[in-house]
Amino acid sequence: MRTTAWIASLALLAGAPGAAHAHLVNSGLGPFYNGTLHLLLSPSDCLAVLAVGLLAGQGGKASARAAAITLPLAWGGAVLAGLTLERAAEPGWLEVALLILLGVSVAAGVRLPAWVLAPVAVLIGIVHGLETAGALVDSDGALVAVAGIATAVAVLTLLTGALAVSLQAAWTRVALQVGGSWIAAVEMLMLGWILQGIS
Amino acid sequence: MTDRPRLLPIHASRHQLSMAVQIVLTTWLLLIPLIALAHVEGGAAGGFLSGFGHPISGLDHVLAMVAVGLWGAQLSAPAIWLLPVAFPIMMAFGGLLGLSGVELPAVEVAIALSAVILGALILGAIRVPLAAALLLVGFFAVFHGHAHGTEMTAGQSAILYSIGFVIATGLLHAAGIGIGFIHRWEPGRVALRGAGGVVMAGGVFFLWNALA
Repeated sequence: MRTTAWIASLALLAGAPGAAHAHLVNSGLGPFYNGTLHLLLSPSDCLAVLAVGLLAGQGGKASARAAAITLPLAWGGAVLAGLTLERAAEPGWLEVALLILLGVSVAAGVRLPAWVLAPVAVLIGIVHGLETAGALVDSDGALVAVAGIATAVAVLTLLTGALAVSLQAAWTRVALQVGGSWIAAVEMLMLGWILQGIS
Repeated sequence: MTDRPRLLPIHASRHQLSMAVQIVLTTWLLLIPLIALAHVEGGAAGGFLSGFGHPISGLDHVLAMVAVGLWGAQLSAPAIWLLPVAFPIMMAFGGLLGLSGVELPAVEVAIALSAVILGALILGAIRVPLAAALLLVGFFAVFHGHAHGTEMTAGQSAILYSIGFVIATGLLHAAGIGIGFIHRWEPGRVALRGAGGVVMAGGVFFLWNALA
């Protein structure tokens, strides 16, 4: 089942049709699901949630719970702040650098306690939330869409963290670390693309 | 009314059903490339496929990356998992150097040398300290990333290109590790060393071409 879940996750990630969208995708199911779909179809956002979830799960149950609460709250709050201030951040080196750090931490098997992980999750949530705000400008039902985004972040963080916590066999812990190295590698290449002005 | 022959007997066992599902899936997978190659992929799908295709499109890269997995399996734990963890990060670092405009000397020669040296180490079943193995693999990974990590077609999604690139690399390592499990058996150890010889021979061929 776990193998199937991993394969399904990879397929979802691989099939995601683009980077951050300038506007919300129309799911046909209303703004809540537009927001949810926006997150699921943004590979950079999905990688961020995955990285936080894996690192949190690696740190144990308390860290995983802390991340599942702080990340969606910070993400949703930053989207609202971005909408209020009418300022949205472009994907930049800070976002990528943070994810490189998270990926390397997962790869190195670092176990962060909840009180350290929570601020990290908040930081990631703020950076990505401000970027997400750009997609919600001029959208109908933006507040409901924010709820959809935050819910998607919460569910994904919870699932990823729970999966990481539940891994007991040695090879599954190794697979987790390999996943971290892949995230770091992807973001390192992204840093290069950003330096070239492509993102 | 005559009974028509059934595709599967109603009392087919789970094993038979499983076999049938596998046959259908395999046939379907075999047909995918014919459909996919009918048109040029663009946009996001093109970005992922382009990134995924790069590491597997050059035999010199394939040889070296599979060799990393083979050598890891031969060295056994912890190298078997540390090498595939270190390689993607160092490879991406090489890609970052390339994208930042940092030139590396003799990239193609280094890539061919990686296959020669890794192949020779497998062939000779040579055990080195873990730190040395990591340094060696990390060093060559930089050149592989520099050569292939930067070759995205304009207009494609950078993040999906990068994801495809990293996943393909990881799967090549996994293939090497999978093959390397034959190391558990005596005849497998000999076969693994033979595979190292093949990697080395391939590397010599590419080195000859790079120097020609």
